Amino acid sequence: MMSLNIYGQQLDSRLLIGSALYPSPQVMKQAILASGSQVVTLSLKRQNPAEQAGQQIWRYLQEIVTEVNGHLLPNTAGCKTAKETVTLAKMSREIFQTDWIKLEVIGDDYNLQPDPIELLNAAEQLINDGFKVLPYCTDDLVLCQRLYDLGCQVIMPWASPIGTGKGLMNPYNLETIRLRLPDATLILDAGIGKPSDACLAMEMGYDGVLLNSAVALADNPVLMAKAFGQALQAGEQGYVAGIMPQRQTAHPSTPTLDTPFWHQP
Amino acid sequence: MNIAIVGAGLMGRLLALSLLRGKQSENVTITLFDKDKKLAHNSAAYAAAGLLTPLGESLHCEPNIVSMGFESLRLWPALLDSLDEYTLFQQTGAIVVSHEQDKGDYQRFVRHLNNNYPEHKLHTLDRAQLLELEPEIGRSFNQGLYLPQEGQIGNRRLLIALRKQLEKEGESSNGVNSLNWLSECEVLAIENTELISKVSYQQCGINCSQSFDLVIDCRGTGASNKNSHRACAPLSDLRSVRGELFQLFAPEVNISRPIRLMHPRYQLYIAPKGKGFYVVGATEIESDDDSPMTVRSAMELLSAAYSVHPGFAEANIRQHVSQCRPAFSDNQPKITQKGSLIQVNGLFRHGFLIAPVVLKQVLALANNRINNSIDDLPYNNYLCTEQPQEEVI
Repeated sequence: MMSLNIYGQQLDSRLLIGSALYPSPQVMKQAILASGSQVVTLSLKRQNPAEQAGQQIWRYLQEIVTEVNGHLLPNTAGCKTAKETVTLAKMSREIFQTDWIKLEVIGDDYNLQPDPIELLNAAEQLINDGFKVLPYCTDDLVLCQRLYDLGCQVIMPWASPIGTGKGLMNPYNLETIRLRLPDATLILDAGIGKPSDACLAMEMGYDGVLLNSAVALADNPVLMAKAFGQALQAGEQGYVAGIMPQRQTAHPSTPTLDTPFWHQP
Repeated sequence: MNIAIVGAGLMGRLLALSLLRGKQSENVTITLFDKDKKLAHNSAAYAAAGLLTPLGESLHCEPNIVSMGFESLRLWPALLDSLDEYTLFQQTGAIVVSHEQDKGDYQRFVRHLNNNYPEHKLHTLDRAQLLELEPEIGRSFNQGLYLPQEGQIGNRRLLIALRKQLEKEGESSNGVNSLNWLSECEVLAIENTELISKVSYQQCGINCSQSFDLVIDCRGTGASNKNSHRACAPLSDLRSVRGELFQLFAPEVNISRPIRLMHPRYQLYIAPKGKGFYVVGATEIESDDDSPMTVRSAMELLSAAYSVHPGFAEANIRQHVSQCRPAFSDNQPKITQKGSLIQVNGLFRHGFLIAPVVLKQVLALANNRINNSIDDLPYNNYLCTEQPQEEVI
């Protein structure tokens, strides 16, 4: 299978995984290893990054990504304005020595919906500053187009609101974005609940899936991580293999020669 | 036998008292080192709610912690009865409730209990049953879960009671104290060998050192790599997890047992501490920052309390506390012995929940050392206890 391309970096796994909500760091590590993922996101907003107070868990995560020959993807979760987002992104670049940033600017506290206006604004500032921006956005075609035009090579529309596990709420929108932005790296982010959701995204031709709660909140996070890894592979292979078109009526796979012609469809 | 205990938080105090009362106590002299004052305001135990709710915690911990929690619930009453000062101990159950938006988390919790702990009683409550148990919160919720075996302890009262008991029992009739409590005294190094360990410390700006037959290190986050240099026997893999909580005075609120509120990120609880006092906690942030509570945490905790009972709107905020809890990467407690040094750490957010079990295990280890015996440890099935391997000849 082809590898996932994120700003020129080739990755074997198409799964990006979050590092929150696990029962313990050790379970998190086992789940990440089982998933096969090579990109681990982390949030630093609440850990007093100015004082680098999250050092211990950051170091732990660094060790995991080194082990899987992968990358840390710091995010700006919890930010609500372009200004604070840009400040946090700069801090995370210094701390983690990476210019990758998952851009997350929340516009609504209730469903954690991204704020498209602040997001565009922050993306522009960060791209001008040399960042490789991976914006988390809604499934709005025009917004995705604008982000792409700004220079975001990776676009990450949501499947449904963060942590809801509701899966792909609007497949039509997601398919349209795929069709209209054929050259963008599209990663479906947020709202994934079960492995079949991830599989569906890959069958649509998405380049990857980013998730966290679906694994961390499973009864057995490690097994669920493995299931997601396999679901992504199945979906990707299905897409590459070429999915047969749907038909209105049934066609027998084996000709039924003994059926009278007026009984045949 | 000269014994040093490093760290006078919950474990240090319990251990000191138990060793003073042990069979060999006439031959035992204990030195208790602590960076903090005797009031222990910087200890993780002070910044806790003293919940004894094994099932309530079970979603975020391994089954052995739940087992230790139930065993500790059985052990606490005798421990508390042996103290002169009164400490609150309550075992009248706990209630779990959830707002409609967080119903998914609630259902996941119920499923988790049914799948993993079918042997324990839990009662689902409808609105009428909830009203009967807790009349003042029944108005806000249509359903709840009653876990009848859960309880709580007066955590701060216990720290005080243990201090007074240690001061009393540490004094000897012949004028030689069997307990020497060095508070505001920082341990700079612990050098351990098979037979003795040397503790170097600083008190009032003066550096001293002393040798002991046995050192028991229970410093909590103080033993992490960051807070403790190499000479101090730091525990690698030990990290800090920030927790924040409020103490509220709400005489208008009448809640009689711990209430747990489902929340997508934290385990929120309201613990009634009597006479109108409530503890509302707690955040859980992967950070070693112990600076004062953030506005965001304050809003989350207080709005949670208010949503459970509007009477909290007029409560006085008596205190906001933030403190770091010590945890290993598997969030499990660990006891290790290297020659004359025993280290116990990583009690995380489960200090009061499991302390009596950890205490018995460490005491057994210490007594083997004191008596030169090799008796079995009581809780090897629950607790990871690393001992030096006997050489096979």
